[in-house]
Amino acid sequence: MTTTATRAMRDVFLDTTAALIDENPRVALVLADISSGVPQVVRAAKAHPDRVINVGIREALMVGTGGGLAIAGLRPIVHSYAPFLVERAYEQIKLDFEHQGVGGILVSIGASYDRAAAGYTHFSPADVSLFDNLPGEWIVHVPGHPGEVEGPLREAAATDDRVYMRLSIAANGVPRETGGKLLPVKDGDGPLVIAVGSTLDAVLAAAEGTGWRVAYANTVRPFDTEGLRAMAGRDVVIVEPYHEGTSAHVLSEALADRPHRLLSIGVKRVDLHLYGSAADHDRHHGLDAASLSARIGAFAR
Amino acid sequence: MTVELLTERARRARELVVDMAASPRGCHLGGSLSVLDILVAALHRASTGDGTEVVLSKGHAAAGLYAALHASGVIEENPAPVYGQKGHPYTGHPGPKVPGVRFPTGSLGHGVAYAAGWAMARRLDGLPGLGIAVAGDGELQEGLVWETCQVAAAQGLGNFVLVVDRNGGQNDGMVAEISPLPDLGARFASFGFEVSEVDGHDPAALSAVLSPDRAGERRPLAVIAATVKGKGVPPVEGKAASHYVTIDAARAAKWKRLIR
Repeated sequence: MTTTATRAMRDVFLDTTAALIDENPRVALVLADISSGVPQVVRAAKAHPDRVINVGIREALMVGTGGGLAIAGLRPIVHSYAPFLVERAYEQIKLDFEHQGVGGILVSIGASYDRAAAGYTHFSPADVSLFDNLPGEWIVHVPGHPGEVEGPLREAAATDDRVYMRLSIAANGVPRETGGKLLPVKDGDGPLVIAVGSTLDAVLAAAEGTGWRVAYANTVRPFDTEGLRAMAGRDVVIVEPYHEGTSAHVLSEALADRPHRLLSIGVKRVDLHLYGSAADHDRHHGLDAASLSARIGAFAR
Repeated sequence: MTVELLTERARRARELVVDMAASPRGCHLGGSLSVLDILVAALHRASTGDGTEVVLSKGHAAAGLYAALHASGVIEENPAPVYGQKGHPYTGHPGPKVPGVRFPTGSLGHGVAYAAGWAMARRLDGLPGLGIAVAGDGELQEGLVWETCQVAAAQGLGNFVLVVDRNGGQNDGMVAEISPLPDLGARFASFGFEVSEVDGHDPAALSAVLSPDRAGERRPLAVIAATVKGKGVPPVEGKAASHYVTIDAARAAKWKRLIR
């Protein structure tokens, strides 16, 4: 995964959220300290103190408050570091949004290991699979570039859907407009390789000079199974920046009526106790271009 | 003698923390410096070998913990040159692979419960030793802290000690503005705690309050330690902007010369 954008996803998210608070009296931002001190949030809080709510370092309260706002008719945007938003407050997500049948927009930063040197408490490779464990429908966006944040966020704010947006420091070189669909990026006569979010550039580097077909997804729930069925041949590979196999059940079900082989690549389910940088972790999990080339190449033979 | 020893250890540890701020990714400097004297005193208390366990619950002050562990002789190698580097355990929030660290912290509130569990286990086994949790004042916003306090008081857990590093700051602002803590001592007392309010940079006071074995005590102890973010390094002392700092080697050398 590469990091090239000058303005990070988090900046775009906070800019857009501040604008949405100005534009839409239903929109409220709920924080647990993190991001409350950045200039655009400070400005929004000054202009709309009743709709920029910092509950302090209280993650369960943050998500529960969001659920309360939602059931009363507001459109909450709830934001924190991924493990604190999704793992620590998972029961609130399950009950206060899902079970109550209300919508909200949950936006995380940190991804699987953006800040690898911060340590394991700041890792969250399980977040997307946790949403899969909830029976109701969640729309899950995994932007691969800061330019892919504003559109889905504005769209989400205009609905009452349950939305999870997973932001990362890692980013591809250029943004791509997908409209929530599987986007063909490279043609060929080999396996279909689906790159999710910020894995695309590494996948494209690995695919260079091969016959692999490459498609890109930045909305993974609901997954564009129609597009998948239209593009998939016998061999399908999915590369995801979170737990390996997270989307395997979705792809297998979509292709159940035809012979196929599926290779899932992602963050392995191990606690490496090994830190360093996000790039180090990409290499350890086989998400760098060289590892992808070797693993997908072996699968394709 | 103890005071001189602790003072010297803290001075050495402050140098190491500044070195870690000069690592490629920097460190939580302000909170590491505010908690340093508490950690040095608590680790000295644990060095008596009676089974006392120190848990840094405000895990973002990991640089302060590693520095204090090294200055106290628990970690043999100097952690500063390899802080945050691949293949070494010295991450921005401490994990269980660090010598002298049993409990991973960095998700706030957890360490307070860990320390209470440790204290319960010592008592269950009929053994001496304290469970000392070191928490930030911002961390007191976590409900888990107060759940632990209620249980510790209800169980008469006299060997549980919660030290609050009251530096007044948190990640994105000041505690007093985000979630004020008036009458903090009275709050702990109302939960059934014995309360001691000390200067968190006074090794003699810290040593005195942490030294007793608390055998036979039925009330847990809350130590509210008044501290200053960035303490001991004048360019950042008392400044909220010291929360997370990345500096270059030249500045680190200059700041180390200014340590007091």
